[in-house]
Amino acid sequence: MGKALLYIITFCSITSCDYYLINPHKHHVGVIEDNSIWKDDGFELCFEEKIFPGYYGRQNSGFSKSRDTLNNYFNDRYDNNGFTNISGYITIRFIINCKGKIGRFKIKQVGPDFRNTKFNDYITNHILEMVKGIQTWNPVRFQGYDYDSFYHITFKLDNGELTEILS
Amino acid sequence: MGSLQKYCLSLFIVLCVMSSCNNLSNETYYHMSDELRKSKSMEYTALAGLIERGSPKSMRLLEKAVRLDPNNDRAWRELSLPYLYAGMIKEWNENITKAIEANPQAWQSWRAHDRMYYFRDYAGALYDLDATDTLTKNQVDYAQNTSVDFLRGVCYLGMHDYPKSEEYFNIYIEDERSKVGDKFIDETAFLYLGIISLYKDRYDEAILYLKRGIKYEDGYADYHYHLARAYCYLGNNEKALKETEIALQKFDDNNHLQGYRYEALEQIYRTQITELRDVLLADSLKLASV
Repeated sequence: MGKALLYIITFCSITSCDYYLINPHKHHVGVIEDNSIWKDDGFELCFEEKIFPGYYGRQNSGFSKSRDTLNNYFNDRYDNNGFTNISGYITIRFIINCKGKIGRFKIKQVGPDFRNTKFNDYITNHILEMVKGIQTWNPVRFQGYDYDSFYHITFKLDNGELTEILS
Repeated sequence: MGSLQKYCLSLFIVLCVMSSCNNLSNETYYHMSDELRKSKSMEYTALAGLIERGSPKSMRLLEKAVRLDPNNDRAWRELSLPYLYAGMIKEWNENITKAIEANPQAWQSWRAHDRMYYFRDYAGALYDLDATDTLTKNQVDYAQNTSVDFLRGVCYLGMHDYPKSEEYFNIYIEDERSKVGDKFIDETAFLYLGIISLYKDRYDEAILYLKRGIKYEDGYADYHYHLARAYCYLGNNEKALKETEIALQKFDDNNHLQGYRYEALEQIYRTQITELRDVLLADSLKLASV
């Protein structure tokens, strides 16, 4: 009897709070929280209080050179290592801080149907390392001041081939 | 003493259950009539529209709106957008799918638009565009103010199916010409037709399309770059060189085809123009020395 009561109470409490438990939306959609115990090579935010979307600001954040340079960078380095059965999208999400340094990397993987999937570790790590290797980033800028922002690059893969770089 | 403890505990439990039930009823809105829920849901959606998109407040309001009325398609669509912009594809897909389930006529062509411009999923976009057309017979649909025929043309171009792409761009052009007149056709259709003609080695035709693209408006650098290519293929280096100079000038004035968030289909870059100009300059120098 006591146990049954406990279950009822737990159930009621959870269902009454599910609105907050499912997705509490503590931050703007897209903000990457630091959940890791180890820091990304000493990466630090300039302002803990606010991380802007990269497409805000007088000057958006992003790669500081032209987009074709970025495309060439990835196309020249990408190697599927024989994994030709991979199709879908790999998105690397990260933060560009006010000094143009990047960190707090998150990897999202979806199949061609836009549902979560898990690709080969080699491919995801390879793409992540390529992104980490880029040093030239512009921070988001408002009224002459630079701030932290979240940003992403999506890679479209078709049978292991890198067909689109969406940044 | 023991019974007092039991009594307090029971009272506490009853209070817990009651308060959670109260919270639950507030969150499920079961006590409201369907009509009230719908209108309240619309109110929350409108209010969310006044708050920064993607912010915690806006998202909570929209989630409340869809709880009140799961058929509030606009709220689902609004929920999908911040995820789309943040590269969170799964979450975007879940929300836009709900919007389409609630109102396919309104949102299927928008998903096509997102699929094309955000994910380069041209086959998926075509599926949505065809489905939209099935829903609205004898009517040309517009997604984000763009004709579905134009979008189909872009999709086929992205899939390198040039005959189909040409077919749909021409359908779009004829339709617009009959509705609003020649002057108001989106010139990008002519740019893409010009590019297709270049892919098919039809240089004279490419020139006609590209010149039509800049007939009424001062066009992008792209028109001049591709005109330069066409002249170059035809061996008219002088004209080609002139066009590259115009293209370069316009490119430096930031007057060139660009995507909204990502790279546009067939977007050109400065290096492409300078490379072509350098080749043409080298050729003209060679000719002069002979």
